Amino acid sequence: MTLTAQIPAVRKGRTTVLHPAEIKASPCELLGIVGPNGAGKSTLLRSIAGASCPVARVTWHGEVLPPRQIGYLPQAFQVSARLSVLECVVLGRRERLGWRVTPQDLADSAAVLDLLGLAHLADRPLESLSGGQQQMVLLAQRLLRQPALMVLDEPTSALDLHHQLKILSRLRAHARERSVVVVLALHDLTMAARFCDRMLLLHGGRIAACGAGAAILTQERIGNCWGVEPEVLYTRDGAPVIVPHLAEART
Amino acid sequence: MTEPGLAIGGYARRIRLRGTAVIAAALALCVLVLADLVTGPSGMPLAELNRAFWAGPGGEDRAAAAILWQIRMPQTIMAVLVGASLGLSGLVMQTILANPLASPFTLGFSAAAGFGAAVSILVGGITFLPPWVETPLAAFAMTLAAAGLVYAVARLKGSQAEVLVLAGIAVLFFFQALQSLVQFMASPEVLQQIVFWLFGSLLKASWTSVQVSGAILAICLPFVMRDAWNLTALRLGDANAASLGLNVDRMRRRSLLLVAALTAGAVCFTGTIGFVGLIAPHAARSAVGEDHRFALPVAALMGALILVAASVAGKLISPGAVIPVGVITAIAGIPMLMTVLITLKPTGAR
Repeated sequence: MTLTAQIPAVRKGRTTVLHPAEIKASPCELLGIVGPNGAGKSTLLRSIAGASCPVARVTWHGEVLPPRQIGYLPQAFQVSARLSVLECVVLGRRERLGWRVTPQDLADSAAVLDLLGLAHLADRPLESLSGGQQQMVLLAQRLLRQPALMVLDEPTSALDLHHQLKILSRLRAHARERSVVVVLALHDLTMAARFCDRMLLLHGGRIAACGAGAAILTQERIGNCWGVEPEVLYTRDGAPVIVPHLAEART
Repeated sequence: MTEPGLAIGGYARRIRLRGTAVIAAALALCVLVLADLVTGPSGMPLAELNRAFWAGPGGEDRAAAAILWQIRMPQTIMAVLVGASLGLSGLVMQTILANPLASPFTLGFSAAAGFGAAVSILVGGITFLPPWVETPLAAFAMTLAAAGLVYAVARLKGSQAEVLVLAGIAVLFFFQALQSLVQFMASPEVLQQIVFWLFGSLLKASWTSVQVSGAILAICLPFVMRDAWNLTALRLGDANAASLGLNVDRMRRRSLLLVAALTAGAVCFTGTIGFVGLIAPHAARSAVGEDHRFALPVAALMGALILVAASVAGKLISPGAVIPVGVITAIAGIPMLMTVLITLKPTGAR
């Protein structure tokens, strides 16, 4: 394991919303964080990203990872900036931008947009895009920064099925190509199990289970954590497909 | 052409358009500056203005030299400097507070300047400085005090936009109340002086005020422009800007101090001039968007344009007794503000 994040306890008032934990991950890995609402997923990601106190101690090969090497994408919200999509992506290079944007920075930004299938939106005003499109543009911005660790809070929450598949495939390819770690929170357990190398199940602010999707997404565990009665089916390649049912609907 | 190639072409076209907008605003300002110089109670045709300009302050035509070099030119240059300072302050404030209705008035900076000037006029002479130095100095000091109060709250409670806006509103009411108290205590003659100061007028401009306001603008401008990319990033919301490596709290506090200095430099000699800091940023954003490399200079140019236009209007409406620019901007600003409110899009960006 190359990446280690030591998570401190996080309290809100008298309630401990996240208990101390240690998370390890290897380069090229997609680590999915799953759990019901209020389990502490966003708190955990913000702590790893250094976006809120207390901040996790994140090391990469034993060295503390500088904030510049962590690309954090918060949960989706509407952005109303009067900027074009390309201008927004270029901001991913904020620290190194001079008065004039270099042709290289522009070409790299356009290439990232192309990679996510967004090149046709490059000249559109950011504020005219849907929430899902804005989410993808901001993801493109993070990809342009090429951090060693990407921390993404529900990056597919506003996307349709096609774009969910596209973005998760791209993230997996990015992790493999650049030898980086991608930690992402997802609500769709089937998608998480299909694309993530490992999953970390959070419940009540504690890590309830960690491992491959097929191993941790058992009927009993899903029932306990989410309060549903799931059917767990398996595809030909062994990936679990979760079909949830409300407990009261079955009685 | 490939899609990435088209995207880069679109970006280049956009940049060219924005460059053209900057040049057009600068040219429009030059025309208005000329119009302001030839307008006035004593009149001065363009040819005479030209002669008086090239003859210099010690030209043979003493009357023309005095009118141009001692009265009109300081007033016009002051209008440009004050307008530019207020335009810049307004844009920076609206960006760091993520609030399209923010301006130096929202945070009470102008009310503080007014209170400082009112106190100086009421109890003048305690510093043994001449009134023309003491009053602007008191206005300047109070503006910085107001910024200090907001800054202290920001240090204690964090620099979130909501906290700063609420602290600014508290400062605004506080200094307005103090201003009313001073006016209540003042004799009718002193009250008249205070009210005249509060009008916001370029008639108080002199070469000294031009030098001081110009120096403050010249010192602050590079620092504001250095933050152009940071301000642009902040428009994506605090969380996104922070994840782009920006220390949002530190930048907000730094910007607050720059805005305080710019506002103090602008209003300490001319009095409170409303709406320029509110309208100029909206005009700039409409013209060049929110790439602050362009929005900042255009906001400064728009601020200058509005104030010089108000100065020309003040002289044309009442040639005998020039109407203070503060009155003109307030009257013209209200329909502009209503337009902004009506056309304002609901925002979710933080």
